[in-house]
Amino acid sequence: MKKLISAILFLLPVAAFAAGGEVTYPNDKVNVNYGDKASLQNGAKLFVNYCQGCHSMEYVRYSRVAQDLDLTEEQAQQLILGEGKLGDTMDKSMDPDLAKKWFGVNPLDLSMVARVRGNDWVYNYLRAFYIDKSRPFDVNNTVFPGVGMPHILADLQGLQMKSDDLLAVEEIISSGKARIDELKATVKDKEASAGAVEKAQEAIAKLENEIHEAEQEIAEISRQGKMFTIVEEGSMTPEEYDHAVRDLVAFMAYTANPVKLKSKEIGLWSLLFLLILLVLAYFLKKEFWKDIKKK
Amino acid sequence: MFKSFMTWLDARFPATKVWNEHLAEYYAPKNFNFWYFFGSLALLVLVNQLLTGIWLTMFYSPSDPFASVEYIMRDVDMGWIIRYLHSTGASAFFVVVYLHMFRGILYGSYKKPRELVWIFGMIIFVLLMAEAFMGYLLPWGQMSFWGAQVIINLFGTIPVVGPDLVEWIRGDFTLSLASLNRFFALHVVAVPLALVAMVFLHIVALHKVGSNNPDGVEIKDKKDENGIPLDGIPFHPYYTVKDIVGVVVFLMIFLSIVFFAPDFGGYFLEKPNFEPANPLKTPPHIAPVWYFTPFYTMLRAVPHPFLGFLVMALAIVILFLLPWLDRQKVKSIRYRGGSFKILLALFVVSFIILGYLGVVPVTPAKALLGRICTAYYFFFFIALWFLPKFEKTKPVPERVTDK
Repeated sequence: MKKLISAILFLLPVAAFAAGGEVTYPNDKVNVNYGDKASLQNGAKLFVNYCQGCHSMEYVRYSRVAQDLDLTEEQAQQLILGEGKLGDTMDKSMDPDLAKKWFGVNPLDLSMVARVRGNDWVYNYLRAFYIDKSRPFDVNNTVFPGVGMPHILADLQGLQMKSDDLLAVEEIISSGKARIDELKATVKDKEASAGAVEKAQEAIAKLENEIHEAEQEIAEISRQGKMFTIVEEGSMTPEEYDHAVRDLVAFMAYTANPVKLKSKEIGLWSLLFLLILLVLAYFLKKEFWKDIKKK
Repeated sequence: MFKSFMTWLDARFPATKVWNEHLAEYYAPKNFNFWYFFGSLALLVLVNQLLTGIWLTMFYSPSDPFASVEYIMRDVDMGWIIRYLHSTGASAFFVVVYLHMFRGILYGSYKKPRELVWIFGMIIFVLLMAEAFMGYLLPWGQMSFWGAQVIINLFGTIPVVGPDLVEWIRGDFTLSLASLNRFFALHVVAVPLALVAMVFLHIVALHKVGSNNPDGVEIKDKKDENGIPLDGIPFHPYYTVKDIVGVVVFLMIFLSIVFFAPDFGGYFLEKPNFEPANPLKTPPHIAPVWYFTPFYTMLRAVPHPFLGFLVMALAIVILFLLPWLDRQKVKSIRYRGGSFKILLALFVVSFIILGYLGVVPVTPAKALLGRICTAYYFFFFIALWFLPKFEKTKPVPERVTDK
C-alpha cells in the first residue's frame, strides 16, 4: 500500500514530464471560425458521413445542431443516422460490443475531443496518416503513433507515405538513440577503462546534439509541409483536403463547446451594463462621501 | 404604516436593533482602502456559490455524474451560465480569500483583540478547501478522479491506521461512485452549512471588536461626547455605497472570465476533465487546481510521503497560530520596520513560486527551488516571533490618517 502511495505521489509527476513534454509533427495551427455556418455545416456533413459509423457524440442532439447551424428541417433529417428522431443524441451506428471485437477498444466519444486535445491536435492528427504495412489497418500516424484507427478519410486525401527527407532524419534519430544506449552500457561497465568511459561520454554528448538538431530538422520539414508524399491520389487536392479537415475540426470544436458564440455575445452585453452601473455607483459613492470630513 | 409594522416587529424580533448594530450604527474606520473590498466580495461570492449551487443540484445526478454535467451544459436552459458561474466562483472565492488574508497580514488585523476573528476566518479557509476539493470531484472527469485519488491517498500515508482510514473515507475499496455520493452530500449540505455558520461567527466576532484599518490604530480609543468613535463612520450608507463600486468592478472581471474564458487557460477547468473518469487510464500529468498548488508543492518537497503530508498540514496549522507568532505590538505595515517589509515581500514571492511549481512537472532544479520556498514559508513565521527584538518601528499616530 505504502509503495503504491509513494508511486502515485512521486513517480506520476516524473512520468508526466516524460509524456507531456513531447511535440508531435505536423504541428500546424488551424484557424477555426465559429461564426462560419457554411464551414460548420460542411463539418457536420463530414462527421456524419465518415466518423459517426464508429464514433458517437452522445451528448449532442441533432435538433441542437440544426438550430445552431441554421439547418432547415429537411437538411437536419438528412443528418440523422438510421431511424433516429430530431431530438435524439448523435449515437454511433456500430454496436459497442462488436466494435470492441473489431478494434480492441470501443471507439471514443467525440463530443468533447476538441476541448480535451485542442483544435490543432485534431487538425494535425487527421492529416498525419501514412502507409505502414506493419499496422493492422496498414496505416500509422505521426501525431498518434500506433493508432488503432484506419485512415477513414483516405478516399478524400488519398494515401501518403513518409517523405524521403523525413525518413532520412528519423533514421539519424533512431540510429543515434540506439548508439547512445550502447555507449551508456560502456559508461556503466565497471571493467571499462577511465579513458574508454570518457570517450563514450563525449560520443554520447555529440550524438545527443545531433539528435537535437535532427528534431529541429523535422520541425522545419513540417513547416514546409514536406513530411509526406502522396502515393495514391484521393478525390481532393491537398488544399481541398486541409479545408475539409478544418471544417470537420470546426464542427467538433462547436460540439465541444456549443455556447462559445452565444457566450461572447452575452458577455459583451453584461459588460456594457456593468460599465453604466459603474458610472452610477461611482457618483453615488462620491455624493455620499462628500460629508466625510478629511480630518 | 411601515412605522407601525416595525414597532410590531421590534416588539417580537430585534430587527431594528440588528440593523443598527451591524449596519447603520456599526462604526467602521473612515480610512479603509482597496484591500478592504475583499471581505464583502467574499460574502458576495459565497452567495453566488450557494445560489448557483442550488440550481445545479436541481439537475446534477450523482449516479450519472459526467453525463448530467453535460446535460446541464447543453440541454438545461442557461445551465451553462449557472455552471460557469459556479466553477469560476470557486476560483474567485480563493482569489478573494487569499487577498483578504493577505490584508490581515499587511495591517496586523489578527492581533489583539481580533485573534478570534482570525481563527474563525482560518476555519472558513479550511472548510473552503474541503468544499472546493469535494466539488471538483463532482463532474467525474479524469482530473476529478485522479486528483481525488492522490489527495485521498494522502491519508493512507498515516502510519498504522492509514489504509483503513482511506477505505473508510472512500466507502469502497477503490474510488467509486459510492465515494462520489458521500462527497456530494458533504459538498451540498454539510460543508456549506458549516461555512455559513462560521461566516456568521466571523462577522459577529468582528463587530464585537470593531474593524481594524490601514493605520492599525484603535478608533474606539478616541470617542466624542456621544460615545461615537471620532474616526468612525456608519457602515451603512458609507461603506455599502463604496462596496457597490467594488462589487461592480469585481463583477466586470468575474463575468469576463465566465463568458470569455471559463477554462482560464486550463487553470480553472483543466482540459482532461472534459474526458469522463477512467480508473484504468492515468492522465500523463496530474496537477491540482491552482489554489491548492502552493501546498501541493510543499507535499512534494519532502521525499517521504507521510512527512510531506505532515509538512503540508503544518503549513495550514501554523497560519492558525499567527496572532501569537507575530509578537510585534505595532499592527500596520505602515509603521513597521524595513525588516518586516522584506520578510513579507519574500513570503509573497515564495508563496507564488510554490503555487507555480505545483502546476508544472518536477525537475531536479524545480524540486530544489520547491524545498527552498517551503523552508522559507516556515522561516517566515519563526522570524516573526523573533522580529520585535531587531525591528525598528515608526511611531504610530493617535488617529487614523489620510494615506
